[in-house]
Amino acid sequence: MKREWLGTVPAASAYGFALGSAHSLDHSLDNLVKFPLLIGSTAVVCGIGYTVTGRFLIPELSPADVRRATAQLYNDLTVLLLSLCPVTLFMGLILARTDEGPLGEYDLFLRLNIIFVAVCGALALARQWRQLMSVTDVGSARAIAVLCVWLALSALAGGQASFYLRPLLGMPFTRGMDVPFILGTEPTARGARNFFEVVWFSLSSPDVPEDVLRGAEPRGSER
Amino acid sequence: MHDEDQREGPAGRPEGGGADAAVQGNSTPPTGGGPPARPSAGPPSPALRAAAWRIEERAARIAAIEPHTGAELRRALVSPFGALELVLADQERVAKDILGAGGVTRLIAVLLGVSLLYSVPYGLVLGLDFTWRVGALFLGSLAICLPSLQVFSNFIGIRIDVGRNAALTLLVTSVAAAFSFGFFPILWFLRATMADGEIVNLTGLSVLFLTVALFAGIAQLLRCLGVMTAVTGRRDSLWLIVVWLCLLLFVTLRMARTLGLTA
Repeated sequence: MKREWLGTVPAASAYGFALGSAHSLDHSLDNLVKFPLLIGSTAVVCGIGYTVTGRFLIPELSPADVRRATAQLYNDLTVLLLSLCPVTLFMGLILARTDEGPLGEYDLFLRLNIIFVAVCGALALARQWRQLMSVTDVGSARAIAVLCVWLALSALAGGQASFYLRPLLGMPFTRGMDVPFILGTEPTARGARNFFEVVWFSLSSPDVPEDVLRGAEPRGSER
Repeated sequence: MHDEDQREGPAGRPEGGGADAAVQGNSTPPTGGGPPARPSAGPPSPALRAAAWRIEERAARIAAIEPHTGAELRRALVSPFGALELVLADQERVAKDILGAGGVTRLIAVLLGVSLLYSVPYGLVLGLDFTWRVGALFLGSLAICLPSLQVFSNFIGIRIDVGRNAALTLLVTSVAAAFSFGFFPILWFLRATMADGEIVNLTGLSVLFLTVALFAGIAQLLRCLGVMTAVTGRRDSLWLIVVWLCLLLFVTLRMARTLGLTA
């Protein structure tokens, strides 16, 4: 299991670096620490939840099995993301040089990376599902159920962790501004005060207030 | 996973030639032969034979399961993680404990202990004033609803004593408490990192966690009842439990409001 985590940290760092490239080198360097922190904090916070729900849904899984399975999940996710680093870096560097307007193509880059994480997460889950099916006698439905529950817990904690650790991407108009390492609970440019509201606003797409774009509150306008 | 385990054949697979002899001894082979069919009904379809074989295999497997020994329950009483294991992953043996002829006092003590102990961290995350409230939410609602289950059971002719009814229903509270224990670090993390917004706030998320925990407890009760039904062959208590669970949900909701867990 140690080997899995040893592989996860550098892979997460590399992907974090590529993510920050769309903004600035400072962002990329911050992300070397922040992205592994995001993965690590999610795993730690959800650890007991993974064990309790895993034991409940598949009693054949021992706590050690759960730890191994979740470590493997994170490892698979980050290794798959690592393979997409060149694409993310390429896109990020292009966007950093061609951004026009206050937001540039921030939304495109954000959506692209959401798709990358979703695809890699789905593949990692599918592999773990096959693994669970092959090493225990559980049926397909129970293996899917436990993975869905783990996914929900991870999304809940990991989503909020990503909100707290902002800015991971950084909006183009904040280049050159003094941006703190993490923004914590400060509201986003669109006024979201937690991850769940970010999701809500990304679906409803309200405009960024003019005063934020003019730089009246630059510290609170990062995402 | 379980590399060291010498597993039996794949459960629930009719073509599984590796199923153990104890299971096969009493069951009809899934292929070749099949159970004797009624002449007028024609030969049963392979799917029907497979289903019958699975039911028989499950019944044989459950019959082979032993209830907890007194020593095991004593160990669970002094080992918090042992108790957690018993509550989360041992429902078949718990069902055997309840159906068995022996006393259930130790089992009740374990379930009560888990219900009380494991709900404390979640309450603490909500605030010092809330330390006892999550346990009170689950156990209080159960205490209010248990007499009705007992009386109705006896009224419709299900002979089960108070202790066994209490042990059965304490599964709900103990699993709910165990789940709240699983969720408490997540709730703590959200509390530490999130500001309440107009659309989503911490109380709403806490209600979501407690609801999931309660439904997990109910699922465990139903799993346990499924085992008991497989052993006794009696299904008449199922509808009563389902109706009673609706009552329990209603009382829990009102209790949550009263205790300030939903405000």
